[in-house]
Amino acid sequence: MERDQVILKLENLTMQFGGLVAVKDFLMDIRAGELVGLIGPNGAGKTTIFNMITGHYKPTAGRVIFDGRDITGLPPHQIARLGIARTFQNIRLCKEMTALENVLISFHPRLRSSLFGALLPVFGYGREEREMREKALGLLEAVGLAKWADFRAGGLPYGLQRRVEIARALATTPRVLLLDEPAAGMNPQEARDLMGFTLTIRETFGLTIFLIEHVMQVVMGICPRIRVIDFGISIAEGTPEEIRSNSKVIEAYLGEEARRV
Amino acid sequence: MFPIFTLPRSEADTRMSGNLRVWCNRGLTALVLAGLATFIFFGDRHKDEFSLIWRILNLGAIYAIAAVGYTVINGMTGQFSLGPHGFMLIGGYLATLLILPLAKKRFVWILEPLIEPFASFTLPYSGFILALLGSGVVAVLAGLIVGIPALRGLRGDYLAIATFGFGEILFMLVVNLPSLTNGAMGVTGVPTYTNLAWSWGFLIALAYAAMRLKNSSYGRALRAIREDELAAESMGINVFRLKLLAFLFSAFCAGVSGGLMVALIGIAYPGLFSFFTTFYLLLIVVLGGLGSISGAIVGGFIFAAVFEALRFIDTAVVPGMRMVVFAIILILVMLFFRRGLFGQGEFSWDGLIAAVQRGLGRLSGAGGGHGAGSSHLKA
Repeated sequence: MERDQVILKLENLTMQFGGLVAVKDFLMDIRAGELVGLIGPNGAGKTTIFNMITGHYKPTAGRVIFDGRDITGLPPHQIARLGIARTFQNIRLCKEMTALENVLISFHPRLRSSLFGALLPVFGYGREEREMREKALGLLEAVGLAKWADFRAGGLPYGLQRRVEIARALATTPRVLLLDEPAAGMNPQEARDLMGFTLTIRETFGLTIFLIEHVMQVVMGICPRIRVIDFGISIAEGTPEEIRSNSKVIEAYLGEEARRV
Repeated sequence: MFPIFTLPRSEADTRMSGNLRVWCNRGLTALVLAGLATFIFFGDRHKDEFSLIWRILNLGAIYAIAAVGYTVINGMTGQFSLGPHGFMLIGGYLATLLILPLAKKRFVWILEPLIEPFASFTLPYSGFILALLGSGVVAVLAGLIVGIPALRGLRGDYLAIATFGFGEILFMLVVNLPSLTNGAMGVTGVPTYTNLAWSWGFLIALAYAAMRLKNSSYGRALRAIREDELAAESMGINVFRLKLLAFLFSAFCAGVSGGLMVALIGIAYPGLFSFFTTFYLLLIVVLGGLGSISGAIVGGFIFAAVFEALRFIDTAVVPGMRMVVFAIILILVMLFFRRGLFGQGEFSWDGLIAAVQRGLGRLSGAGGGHGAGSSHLKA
């Protein structure tokens, strides 16, 4: 896809849980190759927006258009197969499996061998398994995790677990990557590494990245465009400088008093 | 507390390198299979001389077959099903209908005649394999009927309850469909075709398939579902389809196991496989290690042996006392031995060799009169 073409179009996304409106009329166009940040105070509805995009929630109203196709309400595994991958706020690795196996999971949907091919030794499944392992190792190498391949994922340090999770998302060969608070719980050094890492994978894999982040240093540091929501409603959008000086944003984060003073 | 036969890969790798080790292991496996074939051949020939042992070896294999399937859905995939006895019941009755001699069929169904086509044909001994495969296939069909609605919407306790309900429904069906099952009276005189060749043959084949499944991309996806369903589906894995796959595999194993059982004991009746059967299987897979194929097999044989060995309790103390003993064993396993014999791992030659070496090291360390501290030092 050409750069600058709209790849992900969110049309009036609304999510209502009973009487609570978590997200209201969220409207956004994300262009191919962009790196967009989504910020807002706790409970603003950021993760809800991700969940609507990935199919974990079915929006009460509105549409998700991915690459010209309406994907609203498709089940998560189909949306993942179409090319939208995500990571989770609280890392969701398969902890008892190795880092390599975690990445290999993402190759399963594109497995060519049938079930019987895998069950019987005569259909050349072994070769495909070896190919997958090589590819997975290559991917781990690309994200600097090669030496951790055979370690239990749950036993890795926090920052590395994040990377494994991102590697696992990359293994689905996504075009759009949704990162949900990747810097949460990281120390400043890890957060700086993550910034560089995010920019690198965007270049290497030609990704469009949509990023939720609480750590301002990260989001202001790498996202040319930032959207701010509060109580499910968009309140501002712009460059980091514009966001920093936007009175509504300051109000949302610090309360109305802060603006008067 | 820890699985005894499994080794972290890195430790095993240093022992012998690459291809040599693989071929060594294959050789050992081939040797064992040849030994087993010989044993089965002579075991079946001399079954009358060792009838109790022969029976236990058959029962062990039959339990192991069902347990291998059960550990795939319960252990590997982490979906708590309580329905295997239902599939065993279906398999058992189908095998009965397929292999019961025509004369018997006319005799047994007195209240209502047996329906066609079963009333007019029967399979000879050489068709026993078809009867067993049929048992598995019919169990798979039943698995589709219960699995599609149950696995689409339910997990955890709710899935357990739904599958439990399925087992009870089947029991009622068997009692109330006399033209197919002869109702509560059951069927006697089923030819006892089951022998070591059949039971062990199917066990080896199904365990092999289960091992390949576990080590394949499918098995990885199943384990991913157990660990984090949400993450698995976010990586593009069709969670429902894979759960159904595991469920149907377990249904097939249970169906075959039921067929073998009926052809071992020669009768089929509605209570033959009750919820207790599922409880036994649960005991077996937990004892062996949830998710471990080797564990399910070893557990099946241990169970069969202990079950027979404890028969005296039922006769000497109170009938049904054996169940109490088994319940206590299950509680103890859960308390002190939660990961079971194998954990989630599998038997491997490397693991066995390492375990033997450790054992020998400990023995020589103790026997040589060294201090306790020296035993862990490598020679």
